[in-house]
Amino acid sequence: MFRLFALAIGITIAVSAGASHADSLRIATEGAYPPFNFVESGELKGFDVDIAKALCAKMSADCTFQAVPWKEIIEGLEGNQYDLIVASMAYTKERAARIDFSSPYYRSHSVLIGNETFQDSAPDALAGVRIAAETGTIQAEYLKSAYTKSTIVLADDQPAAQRLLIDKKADLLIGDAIELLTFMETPQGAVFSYVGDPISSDFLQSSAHITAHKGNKALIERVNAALKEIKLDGTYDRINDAYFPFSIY
Amino acid sequence: MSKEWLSWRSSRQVSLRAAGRYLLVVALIYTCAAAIFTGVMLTKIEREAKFTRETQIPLILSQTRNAVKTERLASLIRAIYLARDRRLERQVQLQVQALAQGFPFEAGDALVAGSKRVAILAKEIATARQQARDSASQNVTAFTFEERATSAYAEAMKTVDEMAKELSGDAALSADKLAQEIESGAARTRYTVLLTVLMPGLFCIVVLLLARRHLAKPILSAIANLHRISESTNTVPARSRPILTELAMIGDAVVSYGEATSELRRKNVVLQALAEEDSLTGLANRRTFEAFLKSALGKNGFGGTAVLMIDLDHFKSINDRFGHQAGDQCLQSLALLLLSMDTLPNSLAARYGGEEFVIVYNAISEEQATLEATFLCRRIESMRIPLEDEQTLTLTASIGVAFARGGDEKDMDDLISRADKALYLAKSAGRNRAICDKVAQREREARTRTIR
Repeated sequence: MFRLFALAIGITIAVSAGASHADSLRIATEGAYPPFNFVESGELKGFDVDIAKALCAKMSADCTFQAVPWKEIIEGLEGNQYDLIVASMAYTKERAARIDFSSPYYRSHSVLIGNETFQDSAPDALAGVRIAAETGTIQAEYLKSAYTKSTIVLADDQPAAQRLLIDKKADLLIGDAIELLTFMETPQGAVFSYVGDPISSDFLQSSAHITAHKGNKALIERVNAALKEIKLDGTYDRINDAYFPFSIY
Repeated sequence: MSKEWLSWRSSRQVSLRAAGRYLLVVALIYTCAAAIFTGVMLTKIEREAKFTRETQIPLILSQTRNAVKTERLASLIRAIYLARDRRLERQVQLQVQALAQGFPFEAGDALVAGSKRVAILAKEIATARQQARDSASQNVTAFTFEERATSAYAEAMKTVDEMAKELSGDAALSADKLAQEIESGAARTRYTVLLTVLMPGLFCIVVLLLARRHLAKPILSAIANLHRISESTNTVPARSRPILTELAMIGDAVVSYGEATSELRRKNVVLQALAEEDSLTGLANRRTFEAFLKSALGKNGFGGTAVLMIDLDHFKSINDRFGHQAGDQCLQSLALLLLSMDTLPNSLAARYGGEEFVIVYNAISEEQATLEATFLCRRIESMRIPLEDEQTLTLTASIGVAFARGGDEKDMDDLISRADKALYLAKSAGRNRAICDKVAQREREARTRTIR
């Protein structure tokens, strides 16, 4: 009887071990969104990249990374050029119709930054003001719908949008509060500060997710389990503390 | 009243099959009820565990995060107050703002308001410090700005303290609530498990008690009745009728079997008596007499065994003259007379054959036996036997007596033949008399002597 039981356990272990064999995952990120993902001396780095690496370790997967422009990143996933996107992607209904989302791995909100002369972030107070945003982001979408009296200047990626502000081609820049905090701590961003209150819209209180092919529930489940694990065992907090002065979860 | 009771009892009868079926139904109902109850219970616990995992634990975790953020806010405020450097103040102030902006994700209104207030105060500290630096030359104004920074710092720290208090209260409360819910859930589970485990045990005990009362008792009483039958005593019907129909039937069958057996036994006794008796006179027959004599010889009582062989005188001529019916009547009358001799110790009267009768009894001596025989002759002589036409008939009989002191079964034939010889002597001596075989022997010896 006992022998049979031991055999059953042995088989179970063998089967489960076989199921979790090391596989390879292709991961895409933008590489132009510091401090979450950026290229430094030819290498992809940042919070997103570190989180992705920690997840890969937990899933015992061999991961390869590639930088993909934000505008093409969803298409690339749909074209099966990679398995996962780890690029601070916020959840929207439109995106959820095309790809599958994991649990959130950090949360953020959007703010406007600019010169000290701007104190009010209300749409009426900013009539005629030029506001920079990155194409294809939730912030750009929000500007189009809420700040109809302002001029919207679109850039291809976040550094380009910041460049617009620095070069005075735009008066204000909309973006993620944490990402922009890093920008304002650079010498070029030092002259800017937060404008008024954070933009109080549920739409912009967003959460960042990892995304996979539509219907790839198994992979999303694995990512969620690994995410929970790194959150509970302290890995996440160590990565968080390397980039931010407080927890962004 | 007792009749009503009885009818009620009998109407309450249940067949063994039905009882089994009831038992099965009860067991099934219990199993279903227990399964449903346990299922509902476990589902509830599962739901609670899920609620705890998905709602309460995240809530506690988020409060922990808020507590960490609040603590962080306090240290940033301390940092901005102590910075005294334009660049550092700005950096920390931006951090405070970004951190404060993060509160609305998972904090209550009080915390959000508090964090907002702290962000404003941080900005105020930074601004006041900058103004103090700008007006460093005019001492009085610088002092005012410095004071403003200090009061803003004090207010910010107070606000943070209040936020922390609110948080710790909340966290402790929800943790305690969670612990209480888990505890009461565990208690409920314990009682449920105890109940579902104990119930079958109690049920088994009840079934065993019922089985003892209604199954074992009737069976044992039926067995006791069977024993009584084999010991040929009367069966006793069960005091209370068994509830189970089959057992009641078995009990009844045993009782009626017992009744039939005792009836059979009674009939046997009668039949045996018939076999031992002479049918005409009701006296014991010859075979019975011989058995009795054998056993009498075996016994060593006082005195000895006397055999009185009685033969009616001229019985053939009575038959011829008055008919067989009259002859039979004579035999019956003599038999009645002989039966009245049963006052003799250990006596048996029997019809030996034809008109020959015999009495065997435990006599003191030969002489006493001869006296009894002579007395019997006198009584026979005085008998009056009524005939059809109001005539009466008198009889006489001759009796041969033989006596043996002690002896055993083998002496039986000798004793009988001695009695026979004595009878012959009595006949030849003129009938209507009793002669002892010893006397006869002496007479024979005397005669031979005379002849010689």
